Amino acid sequence: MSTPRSETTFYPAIEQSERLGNWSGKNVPRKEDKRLLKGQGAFVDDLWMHRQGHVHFVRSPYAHARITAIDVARCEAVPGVYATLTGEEVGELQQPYFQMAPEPAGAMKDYCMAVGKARYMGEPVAAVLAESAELARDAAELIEVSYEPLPVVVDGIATIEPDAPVLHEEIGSNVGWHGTYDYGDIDWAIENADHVVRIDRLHFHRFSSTPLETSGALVNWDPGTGVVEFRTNNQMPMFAAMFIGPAIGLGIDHMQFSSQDIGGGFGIKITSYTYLTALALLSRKAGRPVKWSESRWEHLAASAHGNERTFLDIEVPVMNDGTILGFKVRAFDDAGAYLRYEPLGAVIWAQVVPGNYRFKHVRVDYTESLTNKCPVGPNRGYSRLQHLWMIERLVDIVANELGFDRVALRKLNYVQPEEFPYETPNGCIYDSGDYPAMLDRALELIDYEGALARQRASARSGRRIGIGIGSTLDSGTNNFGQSRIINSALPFSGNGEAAIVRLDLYGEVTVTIGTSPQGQGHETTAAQVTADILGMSPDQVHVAAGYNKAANTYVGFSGTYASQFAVTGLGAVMGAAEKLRGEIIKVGACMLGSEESDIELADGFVRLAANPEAAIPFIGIAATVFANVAELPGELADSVTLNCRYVYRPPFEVPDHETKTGKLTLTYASQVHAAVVEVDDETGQVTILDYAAVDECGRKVNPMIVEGQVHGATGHGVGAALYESFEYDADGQLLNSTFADYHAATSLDVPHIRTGDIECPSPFTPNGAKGMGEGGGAPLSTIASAIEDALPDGAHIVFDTHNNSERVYELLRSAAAAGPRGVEVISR
Amino acid sequence: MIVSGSRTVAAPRDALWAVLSDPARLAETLPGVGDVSIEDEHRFSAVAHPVTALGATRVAMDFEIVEQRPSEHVRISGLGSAGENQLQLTVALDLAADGEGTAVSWSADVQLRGVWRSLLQRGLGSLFNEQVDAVLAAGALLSGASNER
Repeated sequence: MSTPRSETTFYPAIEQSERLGNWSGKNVPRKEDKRLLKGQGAFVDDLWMHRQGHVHFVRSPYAHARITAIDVARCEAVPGVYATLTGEEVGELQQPYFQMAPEPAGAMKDYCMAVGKARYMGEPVAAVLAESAELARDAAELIEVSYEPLPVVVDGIATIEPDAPVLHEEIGSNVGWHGTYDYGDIDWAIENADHVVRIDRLHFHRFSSTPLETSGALVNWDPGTGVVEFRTNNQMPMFAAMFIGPAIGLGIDHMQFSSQDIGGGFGIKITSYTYLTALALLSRKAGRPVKWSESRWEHLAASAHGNERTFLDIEVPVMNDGTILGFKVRAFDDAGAYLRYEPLGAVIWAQVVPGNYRFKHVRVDYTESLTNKCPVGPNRGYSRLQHLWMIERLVDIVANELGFDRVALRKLNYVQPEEFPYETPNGCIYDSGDYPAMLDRALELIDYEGALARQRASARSGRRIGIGIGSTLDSGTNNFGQSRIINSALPFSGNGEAAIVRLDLYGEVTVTIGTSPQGQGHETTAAQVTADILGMSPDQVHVAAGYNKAANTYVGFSGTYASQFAVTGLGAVMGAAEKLRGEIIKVGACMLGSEESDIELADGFVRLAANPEAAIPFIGIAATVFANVAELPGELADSVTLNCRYVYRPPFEVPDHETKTGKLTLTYASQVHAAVVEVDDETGQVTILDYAAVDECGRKVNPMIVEGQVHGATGHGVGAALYESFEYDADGQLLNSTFADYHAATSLDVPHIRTGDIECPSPFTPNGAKGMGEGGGAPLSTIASAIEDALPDGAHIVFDTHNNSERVYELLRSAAAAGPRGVEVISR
Repeated sequence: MIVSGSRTVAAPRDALWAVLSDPARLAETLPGVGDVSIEDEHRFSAVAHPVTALGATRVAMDFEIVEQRPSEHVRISGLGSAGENQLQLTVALDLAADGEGTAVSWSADVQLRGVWRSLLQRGLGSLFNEQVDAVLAAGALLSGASNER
């Protein structure tokens, strides 16, 4: 068992800023909202360039088919059609994308459009550029594509069988990655446990995010300069550049990315680089800017889906007192037709190996498989929520099978508050937390005792009331070195973000960051910390909206993803603001004829702490440095720029490839949710009666923004649990590719959420904050737990994340029929 | 998806058969279909403009009469596409004399691909049966008889 240690055991000591607090931690209204609420935001479809054409992609109706011919002649003859692009051309113009998987899957040839054959329904096979979007769409129907249908595989487990149709012949199988993670001694634990609970199968379903703004871009390949401008809502542009550049022979210096407002990302806009590549090629061919706005059905069918994962042969060793020793499982993750961001998911889950618990012995045999379905992307809570849901399921099942109280069992097995920082079996360090207190708070918010009484009373009246609990982690600030656990040859490690804070000629403070926000309020929170450090109001701080590679600073990991802005983004802003503060004080001390130690910054002035009347406004400092510099001593003039760049770098080392251990993530925000549901016995409909979400994300920079993200993540999770699921038929046809069938949760579907919070500052970050916003997994666990609790006494387990009315109806019927339960207990 | 149905048409079986087994006349019975092109006695193509939730969509269809027993049975296959959507069907019609009229039963295997698979899956059965009804009604008229259920 891990023992409490000081934080210096795990990371170098970090000095946390003492200047935060005047504005940080306050509900400062979002600066962005002034334009967004007035319809003055600038999204991709608002953009326009002279001579631009509009793009429509022709997509494969088959999930798996050889493309025997594409005839674009009739399409190109239509007046107003500027150009077409086919997969065959792409095969000549593009090198296959770099793959993160090792051989053999690393040999996969992935292009921006189908080359030779299509591997999922909706895969682009050709593109049309025309003077209007409508003309492009109509003209696209004149492109004749001849297909030779091939056998289809959509099952993430059956696909690795020897007789399954192979998607990528160059790989030779449908295995994208396989490896075993083995921590502690699970064989010993199973052999020596008082009980072993065996669960045949659990399934985490396929769903996605439905951002208000779908993917899109306005791309111009300038024939004069050779610079390609990407105005796009891709949420990790420098990652996209790493794929696009080598594929079409562009240096980073010839790629300009920018965005202002992005209407949601949730991770799935990271992999839009394939479309950006196609748009760049089409722009070069046509010699004009090209614009593409993804339709909703394109987004649902062919953007990116979240990972579907099936867990088989789970074994959980448990002691008589309820101590759970760990678990073993075979996990099959269905990546869809291409690896795009995968197989990173094959290691990302390992950031949270034991979940919120003190499990010491874990073995996960992990297979990333390929099927004829839409490729996956790093959807909210990427790879961890699948694993965390499985853990919460097995805790509930252990409680039910062995007769433990679910609350008590959790509290017994949770990592205890005094054990933080806590080292997991694979070497990750949970920074801080208090899970038992969070659970108490969640239960208090749903009036747990009252809910139990309602449950007992309802049983007598024939109603089915269930109470559920879900505990999850939101690990933030990745160590990209974990990618070497899946492929030791990958040249990635650490993480970082960059920012510039500068004082301009008239005393303006401007902040630019390498991030590409999609609604997280970066302009506001960056202004708050800058204002604290420079002694001014957030209103006086201008944070450049969005991302612009030419104007902003950046590093290779720049972007907005994986719950890290509060640490990396604000860490960079704080560092840059501190540098600027130092320069301002240096110049101010010189101008006031005092020592730097006598100076303070307040209200936009440099002044003597002992005599506030002796003050120089920032404009005076800036005007002197920029326009009256001969007044300053030469040495001082040469040492200040008032234009300060800082790169925040988390203190990571490279994880160990052989043992698959290391510090994979810096911070661990957590969520404990609780819910009371009613299940209709006749229809299987689930109604959420009460819902509580307790969040812990360290020191909050803006509690209002945090609460907004808690609401959003919870709504997303509720939607996935009850409404949202991508369903394919055996031919690989997506059965719900419009909002008529894929029901994204709305405010009418999401219950009133009682929120609570606990603050456990991270000792490892410069502001005590933790990344957050990906806690969408908690409702999946909570609602599954509540539904199971509502079913007839222990009759059946909830084995799936998605429990719409039909599935719950089937569960009720199968429970009544006393069918196979899929659970076995061996006691010694 | 398998769609089936039956009805009685007030037209003599031989007269109805003469319409259904002749590509040129059969094409005339298909509702919303134009630009008919007869390739030979078994094959023809046509352009349909069905109205779906996406609006009126142009669908280029190729049909082939793949099996027939005079006055008794005909099986027709069709493949059509509209952009990223595809419709593939095989429909079998069986005719039997029923007094002065003809009892017709049909069974079709219809496959939709693309967004149509999502949009039309629930309404396909009734939509297809309406189409068959319209074909038989038109066929009865072309055969010189009125038709009724």
